[in-house]
Amino acid sequence: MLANAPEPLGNLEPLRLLFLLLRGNPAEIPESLKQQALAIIEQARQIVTDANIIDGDTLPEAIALALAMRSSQQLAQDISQIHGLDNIDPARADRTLEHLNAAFAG
Amino acid sequence: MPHLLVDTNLRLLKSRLEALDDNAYFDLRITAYVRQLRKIIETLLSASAPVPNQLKHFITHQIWRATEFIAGSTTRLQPYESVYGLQCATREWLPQEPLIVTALIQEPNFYFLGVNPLFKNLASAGLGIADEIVQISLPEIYRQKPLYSIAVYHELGHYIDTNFSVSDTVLALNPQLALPGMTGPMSPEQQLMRRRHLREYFADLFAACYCGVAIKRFLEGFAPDATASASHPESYQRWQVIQALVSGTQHFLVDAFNQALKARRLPPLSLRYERVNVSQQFKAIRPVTLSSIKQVYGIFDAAWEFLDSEADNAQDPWNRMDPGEIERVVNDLVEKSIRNWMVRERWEHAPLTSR
Repeated sequence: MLANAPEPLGNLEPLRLLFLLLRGNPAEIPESLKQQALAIIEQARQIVTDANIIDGDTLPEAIALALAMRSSQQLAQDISQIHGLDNIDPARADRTLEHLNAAFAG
Repeated sequence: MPHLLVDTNLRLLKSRLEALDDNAYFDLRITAYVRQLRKIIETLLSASAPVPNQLKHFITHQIWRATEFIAGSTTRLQPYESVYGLQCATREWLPQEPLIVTALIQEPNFYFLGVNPLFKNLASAGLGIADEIVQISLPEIYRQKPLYSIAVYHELGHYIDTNFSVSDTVLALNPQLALPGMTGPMSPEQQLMRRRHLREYFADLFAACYCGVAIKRFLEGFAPDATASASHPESYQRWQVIQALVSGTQHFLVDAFNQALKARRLPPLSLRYERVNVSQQFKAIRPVTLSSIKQVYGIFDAAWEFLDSEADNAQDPWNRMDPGEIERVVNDLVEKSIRNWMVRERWEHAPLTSR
């Protein structure tokens, strides 16, 4: 009501965890998390191009990520380069995580 | 093998959940939820393949949080009349009624805490936890004060917003939207502030849909002179937006939210309550007979008004009460009025065989 609960990334926490795990051993990442993250990223890219595609089926996390991409060019660039999770090395995961955190650290 | 605090925490939480399993809850689904959380812990502790430590920490944190809310939701602690109204309010927003759990806190604030979507997905895929969980905390001193607990509707608004990204949809559709007190080009920090303020406006408007001016009266008393912060707009601006909705005055924020709600195929912001006349019954220290769920919402506004003005002018026995007693009796009357409605509703909808 007067202060926010400590949940900086809100519904983007799964993405944060994904990039956190990508810095370690990607083989240990649960398949459900990978699928969820890729779906969020794919939809977010579409929303950045045209927000009018948002409808009742759009993932809420994708809308949040699209907004973050609009406010951070660096994050937008990171996300636009993700086409699968196999080609993300720890350094890139670390960079993306940093940009994601920065987009929500006011 | 090194000592892992995270495993110890899981074992401690398991014991705590075992103890909570013995409690009674108004919503029987909570017991099932407790058992599912225990199963998650057992699975984590006995997993044959090692679970990544970060993932284990993440899940432990979620369970810890859930435990706090379960502990506050026993029949002895949960403000059931307030939660009942919330349950009814969710019906038009969600396909099925969520499980609402409450935590009682010792600070002057109300919080909504989301269940992490990842935890939800993992729990749903692994253990079939299908219920949506809404976690709301409120000050313990308001536990039996339904009039002062109406901010839980504001918190439910946060849940709806988070669940459907309503405020984010507003910003996606209106990138240049300027909020009261924020003009000109915005730095990334200001954009973030705009997003947070927008979420507060939505939660306020959501609460106003059910509680009307009562939420404004509460906010006026609870945070009379709060200035704008990084997370919250100035109280005065919040009152203005609430007032616009309840008085039917056009306001660009209400329009923007309704545009987003439409895009998300959700119902619009509109008034859901029906005015109740409490004066006659309350003056005689009697609960009112509510005849619809709209009146359950409407009693808040009427009771606030009674508390603010009429109680002062009422005759015996009100004129013999001190302010503390007046407040307690009015809250009691609201609680009893809602409880009577709940009992009647349950009776009318109970299967004939169980009567």
